[in-house]
Amino acid sequence: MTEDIILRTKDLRASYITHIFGTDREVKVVDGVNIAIRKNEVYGIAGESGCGKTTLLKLIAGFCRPPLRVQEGSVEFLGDPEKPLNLLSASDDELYSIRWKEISYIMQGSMNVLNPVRKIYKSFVDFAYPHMSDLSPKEFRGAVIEHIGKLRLGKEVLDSYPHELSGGMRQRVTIGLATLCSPHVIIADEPTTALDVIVQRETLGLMKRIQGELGNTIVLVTHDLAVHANMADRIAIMYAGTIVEEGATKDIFENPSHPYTQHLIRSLPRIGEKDRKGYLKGAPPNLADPPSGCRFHPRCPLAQERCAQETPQPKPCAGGTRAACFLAE
Amino acid sequence: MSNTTELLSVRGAKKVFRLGGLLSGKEIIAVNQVSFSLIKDKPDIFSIIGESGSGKSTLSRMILRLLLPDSGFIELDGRDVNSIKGRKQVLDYMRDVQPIFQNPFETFNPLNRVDDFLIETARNYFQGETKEQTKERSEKALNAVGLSLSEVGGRYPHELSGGQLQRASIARAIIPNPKILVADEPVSMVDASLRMSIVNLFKDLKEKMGTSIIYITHDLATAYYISDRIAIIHKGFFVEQGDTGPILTNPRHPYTRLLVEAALDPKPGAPSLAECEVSCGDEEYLAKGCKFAGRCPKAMDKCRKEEPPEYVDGNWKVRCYLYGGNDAR
Amino acid sequence: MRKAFAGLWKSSGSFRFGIISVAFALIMIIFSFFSPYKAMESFVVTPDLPPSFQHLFGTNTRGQDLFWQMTFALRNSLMFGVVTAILSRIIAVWVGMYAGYKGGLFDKVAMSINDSFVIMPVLPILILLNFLLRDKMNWFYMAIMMALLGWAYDARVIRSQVLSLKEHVFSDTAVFCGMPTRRIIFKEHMPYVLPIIFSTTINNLLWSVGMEVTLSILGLTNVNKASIGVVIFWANQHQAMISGVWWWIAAPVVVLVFVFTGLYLLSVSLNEYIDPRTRLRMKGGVA
Repeated sequence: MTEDIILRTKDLRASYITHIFGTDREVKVVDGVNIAIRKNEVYGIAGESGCGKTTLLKLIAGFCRPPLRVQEGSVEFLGDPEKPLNLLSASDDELYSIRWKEISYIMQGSMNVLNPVRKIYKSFVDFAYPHMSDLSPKEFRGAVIEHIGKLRLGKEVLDSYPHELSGGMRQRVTIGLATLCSPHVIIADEPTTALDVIVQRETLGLMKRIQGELGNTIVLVTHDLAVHANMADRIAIMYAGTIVEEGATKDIFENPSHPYTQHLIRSLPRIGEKDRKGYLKGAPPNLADPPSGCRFHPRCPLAQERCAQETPQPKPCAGGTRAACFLAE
Repeated sequence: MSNTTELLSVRGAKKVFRLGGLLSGKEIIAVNQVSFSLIKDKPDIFSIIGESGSGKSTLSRMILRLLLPDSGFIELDGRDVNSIKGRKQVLDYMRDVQPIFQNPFETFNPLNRVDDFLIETARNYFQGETKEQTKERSEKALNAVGLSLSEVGGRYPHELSGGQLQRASIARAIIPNPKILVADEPVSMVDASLRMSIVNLFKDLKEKMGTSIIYITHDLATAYYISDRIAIIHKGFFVEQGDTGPILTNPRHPYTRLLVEAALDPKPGAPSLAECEVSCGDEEYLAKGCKFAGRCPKAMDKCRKEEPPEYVDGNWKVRCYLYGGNDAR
Repeated sequence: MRKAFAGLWKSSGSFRFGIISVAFALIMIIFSFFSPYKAMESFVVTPDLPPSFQHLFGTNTRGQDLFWQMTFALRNSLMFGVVTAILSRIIAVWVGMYAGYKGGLFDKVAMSINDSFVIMPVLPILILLNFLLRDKMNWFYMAIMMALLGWAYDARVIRSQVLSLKEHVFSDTAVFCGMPTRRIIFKEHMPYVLPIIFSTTINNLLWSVGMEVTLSILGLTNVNKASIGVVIFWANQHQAMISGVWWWIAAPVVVLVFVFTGLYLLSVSLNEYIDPRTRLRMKGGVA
């Protein structure tokens, strides 16, 4: 089974540390994360704003710049199973050789990531050509045209500027950029959050089709559980810097074990349902001063004394998922 | 002031924006022949569903009187928005119509305390009261949304969560006891676990305080959950309008059908995401005839020549030639 | 307040230098009230003595102790700069903020007037005015003139900040709170404009003192009242450099450069500190 794993984090712990004009702050944004992402799957990470999922994603991609500092743990990339590479301690050359070819990244709000004063084709040249430099410029252009054709973009798109395209088309361009070199892992951070319903549907369908064709892994981060329901094979629910539950999509939706997950699933509105839905009191914690023990205990309707004193670790539960909760074990 | 039965009457409202320079400008009709009304003494939650660029925000700004219509009428309780002049009349208008904006962190001034705006509102709409009375009003409004001055007083916006801040924004809006709240995407920026509490709050405000709410969103699920009536806006036109239940479960206009099908169902194992056509920028705005004809699976020749009139069937209004044969508007 | 001071002192070299320089200037100004000699009395000490413990900056050919001269000079120059800066701030802030917020005809008219002032060549006008009105010219009138010539550029900067603030959603919220225009400008927008006002004040101060020095060196101001420029003027009149009395030029120049640099670095460090985005970052928010 371990040959199946392509990315693995071990006890990852990272904080944002700032010193501004004499005020020191430490925000423990990722606090003990252990996940194993397999080949040929869509792995979803769900959580609310401020839970640390974007930071986790950055770390998985090997981006770690101050004020973000890793305090413990590693992120192993197993593109070559014989030689696991710790992305957090890799040299710049090693990272350069795997970026875009093995691991590519679709950033949040990525439609705005395209350089507004460069034509689309130039962006392809800037980002992707260095990794495909064994092709002649003409061959490269041909490859790009063929690739974006699969995304149903015509070649006139290449000669346009970003502002001349609609949001949905720009998003397809960014997906095209990320998939051109057929990487093993595509990391996508809220790829459809700013898009309209119809464009979102279209984009997600596209991503799923590409994943099926290339057989690679997509690590998808979004707070929208409906997206996960339709896209992910396995989901990890993140809360205040820790993974509180992880499992196959079906199990998470049908048999959630952690109180937070249960609440999230229960409160999803659906067309056709009008009965009143409950809600959680309180608010997500301040990560500069997180609660003791289980980070969810101040808001948990089932909290006991033990929850404030000890931190639960993820363990297999009856529903088929792994949950970090004393009551679910 | 008036003997009309309508609280808000919008008839044929139109707003044109001119893009581009002197010689090569193009006209975009952002809001086109929009008509709907809210009845006095019969509080309603009226949802307006549209994609980005559909004109829904422009329409909301016109109702709030931040923009004036180029033609057509908008009347609040018999008062035409164009005839309101002078500070006293403007204040009277705003007393009855208050906004709730999408991003609570932008609604408040990041550099000032959250209760500042609440105290200002109380002070300006109820002049001549003592400090204690003003504070009382703010406290009552905060309590109505599930907060209190002790939680929120003296805090800056970034110290509260998105959910709390949006509630504070609602509290501010209800201080002058408005008859209408115009809420533009009020929960799209709020985390999932807190979203339903705010949506429930709108329900409470309508039921307990008799406030009508114009709820603008692209999320069909929450719209179904709280609204009584719904209107679908596409490129400036209301293409369908009527009671929520029937429209969302059995849409008549092809665009509404497209939206309902595109909405993601939060159920794993859903049928595979089909890819659908997406609109491209401004071209649709400039097309002759029905603006949806380019993508409509049922488009006929006459659709591309002239804009269809609104056909009426009791409470249901559809702007589509497919339903011609009923009384044209 | 103390915490802010301590934080700044610890972390910013510019701030430390600036505070030291301001302290120096203040001490000099205080000393000026205790001077044993009157400002323009001449031949009260032995002329042409190089710097020593008795005469810290030496003495000049007119028999004045340069140290005490500098206390008067610094006091007068800085006071002139401060008055100019305050007057021009008042004009710039009012015009800039109202034009930015109101827009429309008011803005157009205000900006036309503004542009006329911006393109005026300041130095030639000042030279001309001083030349014509030499006898009636005193420091206060000159300060007013400088204020009138110095507000225009900063008003535009303030206006552009207000224009961008108007687009913010909270400006709309403020309208719906029923707040009158003036209150919106001064309560909601001012905290954002304050860093600009602050840095332009110091700039304006430095500019006006520099102008005064220029004019005085040319002998166009009242050369019987001590100021840094006047000291240099008299040094030139007596050909100090050629006759070897280099300390007569050195004293005002060194003091001027020291105080200017200090004020500038102070404004830079304080500016970053009072910028609202920094304050929010310290508390953990995002602006």
